[in-house]
Amino acid sequence: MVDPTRRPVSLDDERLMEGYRLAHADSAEPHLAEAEWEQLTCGELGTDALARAHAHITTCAQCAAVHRSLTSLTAEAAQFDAGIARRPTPSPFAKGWMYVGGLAAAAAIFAAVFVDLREPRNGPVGEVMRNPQGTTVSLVAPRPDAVLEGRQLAWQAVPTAEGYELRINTMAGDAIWATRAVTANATIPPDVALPPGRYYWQVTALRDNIGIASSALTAFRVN
Amino acid sequence: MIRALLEKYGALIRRVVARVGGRALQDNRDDVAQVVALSLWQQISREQTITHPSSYVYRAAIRETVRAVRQELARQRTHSSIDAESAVPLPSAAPDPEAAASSAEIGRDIKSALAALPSDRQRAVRAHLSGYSVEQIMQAYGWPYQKARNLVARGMADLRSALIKEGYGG
Repeated sequence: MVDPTRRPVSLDDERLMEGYRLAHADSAEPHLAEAEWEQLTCGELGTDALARAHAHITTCAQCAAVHRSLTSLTAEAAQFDAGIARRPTPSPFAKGWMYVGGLAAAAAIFAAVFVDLREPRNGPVGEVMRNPQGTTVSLVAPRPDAVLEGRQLAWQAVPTAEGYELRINTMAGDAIWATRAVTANATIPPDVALPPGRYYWQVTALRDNIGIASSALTAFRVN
Repeated sequence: MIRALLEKYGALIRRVVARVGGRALQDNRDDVAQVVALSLWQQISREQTITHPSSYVYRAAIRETVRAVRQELARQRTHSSIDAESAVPLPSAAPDPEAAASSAEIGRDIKSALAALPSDRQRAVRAHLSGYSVEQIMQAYGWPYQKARNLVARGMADLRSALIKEGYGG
């Protein structure tokens, strides 16, 4: 039944969004914690937590504002920081997608310096990739920021991987070595100069010549 | 590298918060920039070893954005209540009072109309009205593009029909 006392109101999206925001200004549920926002933005929330987060955000004006701000932050940061978490642009007809998780540090540097060393592959350059189950490659030795012993590098094998791509660069981002391995370890050849200092290394697991998971970009030291 | 990233993120967070704050933020925009820069530096300096600087700064920026936006929203609420008590007009990003009143009124009816929608349409419309893009709705609910787009379109059409029945849209 039409209420004759009501004034005509435009039903454009902007007005409806404003009305919806005002109707949900005070959410009874607790807001997302900072850590949850971080995990949500970096694509690290599990299925249940993700569902809870979106259920709250879409019924809480405050959290919707935070969500919009983080969306803007991520979109604009991608223009100057290649190391941010991002998802692939979905196909309009996609039924689902492969999840591309957070980028490792200095991905831009890697993308620039390793492009000539790499063999062509389909995976994104320099990104830490996760498979749909969220697998990453765990580095075993050297541990983060530990001293490199005997030029030996080791990581945990990924069951579905057919091989690995290993990269090392200097603090300044210069590539010093890149190779491929079938097993979950490698030895840096003697002719690769390693002056004392800090270095970064990263391992990407490959299947069908495509990166399926990556380690974080991690530092080690040479004394 | 970190310094350059911090400066860019500091400026970006300031812009993002300014959008939330609208005109009301103009007066204390420099304060926000200083607080953001200082806080980012404090977060970074707590870490003795940063194994992935770029990702770390991005994560720090996320946390700082959450804090800054919440502070700005709290500041807006405080100003609104002071404004209401003192009747002194303060700069505000909100539309004029008449429009705000009608938005509040329609908000209550939107809430009722949404409750009557089928579950998926309701979720799609809630996300759309909260500012999600179709891509974000796909990600949030695991829907293909066509489904997400159709649910938003049909849900919004249902919502408008319900509101027109209530006397809106003249």
